[in-house]
Amino acid sequence: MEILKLKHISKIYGERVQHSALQDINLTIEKGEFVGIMGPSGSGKTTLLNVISTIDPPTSGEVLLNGENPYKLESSQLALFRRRKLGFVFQDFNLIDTLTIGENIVLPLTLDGHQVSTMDKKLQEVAQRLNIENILTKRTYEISGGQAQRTAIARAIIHSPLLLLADEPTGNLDSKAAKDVMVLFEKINRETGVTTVMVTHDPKSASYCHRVIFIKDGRFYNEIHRGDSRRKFYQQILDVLSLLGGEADDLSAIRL
Amino acid sequence: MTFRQFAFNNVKRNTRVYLAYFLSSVFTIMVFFSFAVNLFHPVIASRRGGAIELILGQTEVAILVFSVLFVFISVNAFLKVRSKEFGILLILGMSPKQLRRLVFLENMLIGCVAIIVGITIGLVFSKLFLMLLSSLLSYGSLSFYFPVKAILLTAGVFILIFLGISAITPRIIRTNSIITLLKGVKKANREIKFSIIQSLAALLLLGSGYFMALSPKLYDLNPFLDRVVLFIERLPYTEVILTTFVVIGTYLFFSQLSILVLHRLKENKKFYLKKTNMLWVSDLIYRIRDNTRMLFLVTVLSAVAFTAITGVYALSSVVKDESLKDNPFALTFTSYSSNAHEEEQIKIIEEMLDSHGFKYEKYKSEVIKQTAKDNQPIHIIKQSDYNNRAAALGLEQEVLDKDQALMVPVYVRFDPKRDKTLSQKNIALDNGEINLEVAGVAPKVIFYSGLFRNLVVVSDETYEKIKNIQEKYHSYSYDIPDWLNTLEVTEKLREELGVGEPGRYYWSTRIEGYILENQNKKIFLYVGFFLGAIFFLGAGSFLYFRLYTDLNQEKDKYIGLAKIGLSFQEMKRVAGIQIAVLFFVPYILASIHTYFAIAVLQTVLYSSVLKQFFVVIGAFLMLNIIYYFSVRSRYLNYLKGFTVR
Ligand SMILES: Nc1ncnc2c1ncn2[C@@H]1O[C@H](COP(=O)(O)OP(=O)(O)O)[C@@H](O)[C@H]1O
Ligand SMILES: [Mg+2]
Repeated sequence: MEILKLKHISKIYGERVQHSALQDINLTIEKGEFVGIMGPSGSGKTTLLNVISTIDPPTSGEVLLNGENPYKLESSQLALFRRRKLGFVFQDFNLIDTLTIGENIVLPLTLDGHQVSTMDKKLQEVAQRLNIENILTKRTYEISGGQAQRTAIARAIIHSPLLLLADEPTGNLDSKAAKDVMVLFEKINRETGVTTVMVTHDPKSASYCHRVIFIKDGRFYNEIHRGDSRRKFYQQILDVLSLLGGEADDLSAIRL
Repeated sequence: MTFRQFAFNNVKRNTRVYLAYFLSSVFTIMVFFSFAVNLFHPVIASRRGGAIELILGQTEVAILVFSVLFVFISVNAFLKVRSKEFGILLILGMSPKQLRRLVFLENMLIGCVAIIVGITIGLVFSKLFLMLLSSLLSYGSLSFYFPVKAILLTAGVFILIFLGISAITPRIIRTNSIITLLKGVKKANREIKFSIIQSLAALLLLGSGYFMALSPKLYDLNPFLDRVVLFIERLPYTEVILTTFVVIGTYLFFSQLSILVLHRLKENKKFYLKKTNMLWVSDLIYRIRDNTRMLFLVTVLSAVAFTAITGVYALSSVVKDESLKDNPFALTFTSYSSNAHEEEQIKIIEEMLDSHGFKYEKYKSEVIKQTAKDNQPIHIIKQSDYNNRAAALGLEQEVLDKDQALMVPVYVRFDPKRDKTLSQKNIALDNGEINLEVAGVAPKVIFYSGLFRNLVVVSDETYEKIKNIQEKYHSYSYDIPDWLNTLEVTEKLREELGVGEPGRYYWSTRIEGYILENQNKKIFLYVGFFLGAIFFLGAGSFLYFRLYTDLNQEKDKYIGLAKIGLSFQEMKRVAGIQIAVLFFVPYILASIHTYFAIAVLQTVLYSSVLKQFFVVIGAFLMLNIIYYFSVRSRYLNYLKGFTVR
């Protein structure tokens, strides 16, 4: 079953000086898939993910999520759609500082007006899965980056979304924490069957995906599927990247 | 966690962000409340309709307008800081409606707590304000009372304000562009544009506004200028035009001219590339652009505050002068010819003065009233009576020919150019039978302000010839050197003589005028200082609020700069210059505005107010410097936390 279908997506920024960030992107993602999006810095990865995320309408083309075009919904309907069908994970976590870890995680259920008892049950479940039961009462400034990202993932999946979207989820983490997070993504995808789309420019992280799509200058460039071996897949990714010709810096970019 | 718990936690735990908003609300409510306590005090309320109630009432309205503005701006700044948080919530699927409900709940929560705290603090301070007010009014003491009405008014008004603002502000959040919200408040990489034409317009508008303010003083310098001045004088609502010019000019000053100046600095490579100049100049361009409205508002508020305070200060320092000019004699009793008790009454007055040990000189004058052709009353006094009074007032003695007349002003603020009765060339008495040529105008009021309009002095010889006598008044003026102590005597005399009887007699004293004026002016002073202080504090808080808001964005930049080797000393310099510009440019501009506003005031007051202007401006400079250093040190402390990491 197709969870996501992009048809001829283009995105142009700017009014007087126009810049084409995406050009004619077509993409189909099946239920349960774990897809990575890669490309050099500025190639349009984030833009693409935002278009899928229903927060940045494409200039032309059509987005179909579970068969319907979210950009055709009116704003309260769209909010409901996001709340129930989508889960987001960001590079800089985007947790809310005023809330405890536990409260951050149940926020999507709060917004949807669930019973407090359901919230508690689901919170325990998801916290256990992500191994963060012991920090639920802490505040955001009291935890590490890895824990913050696991919290964000917990928040993104507590409502069992249709589609989990992540923009450089390991970008702010050290390699150990990054590995933990990727293992979790894979495990969640496997155990809950949630369709996952992840933007990354770290080939290690990308190697956990089933399929990696490469874009360059806003255009589709290549796509490779994972076979049995993750190690082999990693090598393939590196090969494509070197052909793609992104600067070496990009591969291990560390942000300030 | 339910939605309501969520909203509550959000407020409870986010004190750093909410505190500034909360405190400014508390401050505003406290001020409003304290003033309401004054307004509803039983003693003041019992004098319903009096000048005091009116002034206090209008002040309360002014404070109200200011409160709305202040809370609105605070809430706006407050929402801006939180745009990222809103972005996250929206992306998690919060509907715009839920977001509005969240902001509404938060605002109401903060508002209600602020109202309670503000009124409580206000109750503590109101005792102080009441003491101040009663000593100013010489009302004895205005006792403390439990101000139910003031509490109800304050609570009611502010619940309305918060309801209104809670209902309006959430709509300001641009819920449709989540990406912009997520990225935080603003991007520093956009290009800042300015218009040369609008910058010139700023100069032109400010210049012509100032010129209009000065124009009455520029008369008689050169013929071309005179024509311009006369043109300005003929414009309707000069003050309104002038103010509009200056206000728009101020806005353009910050939105265009200041950016232009900074750009010029940027182009001057020698300056720009020297040490940290590059950092603060480039940064300041963004700061000013982002804070245009705030800087504009701060400038206008400060100018209003400075002008109000200088004005009331000047008014109150001329009060004794004024009542001396208004009442050249300590007591004046005027009797109509139909008053049968004139002599008894004069005896009462003099016995009363004697029995209280006052020394006095009596000046008696006779004044004849006629009606001229144009139905204007004319009052006539003879030369010997005039000279009698003139001697007492230290004026020159006059010797008039039999066909000459001297005009006497009826008000202190007479202006020969404008008061037509004083610029008559000829006077006709007895329906044209006696024709006199006006020889001049006496320099002062000789009875008291307002008595005997169109008063003419004629020679004794001519006076005797007057046949048409509609009324003949006897007016007795007493010069009492110790007049400042005559209040008790006056009160006793009022018991016996009352205020007068229409068509028979009336009398007036200097001390009553003095006390009334004094009281009114003290209230003016009280109100002026109150308003001035509030406006100024408000202006300072705006700035502080903004710096606070900006800190979060600044943080990343300074961390980055510290990493590439910017020392704390240099950081201090960069931040110091920026804060100084934000604090002192509005102050300087507001002072200049005030100077010209005072120039207008001066023509009304007929006395120099330059001294008062400098005292006020100087006092505020001190305040501003204190404000600047405390804000700067807090700001730098905050930054320091990032550099050591
Ligand atoms: N809001 C925007 N306005 C204008 N240009 C943008 C905006 N967002 C992204 N871009 C441009 O679109 C291109 C793709 O950006 P992005 O999707 O963020 O790249 P990536 O995530 O692959 O690094 C870049 O050239 C960027 O400058
Ligand atoms: Mg990106």
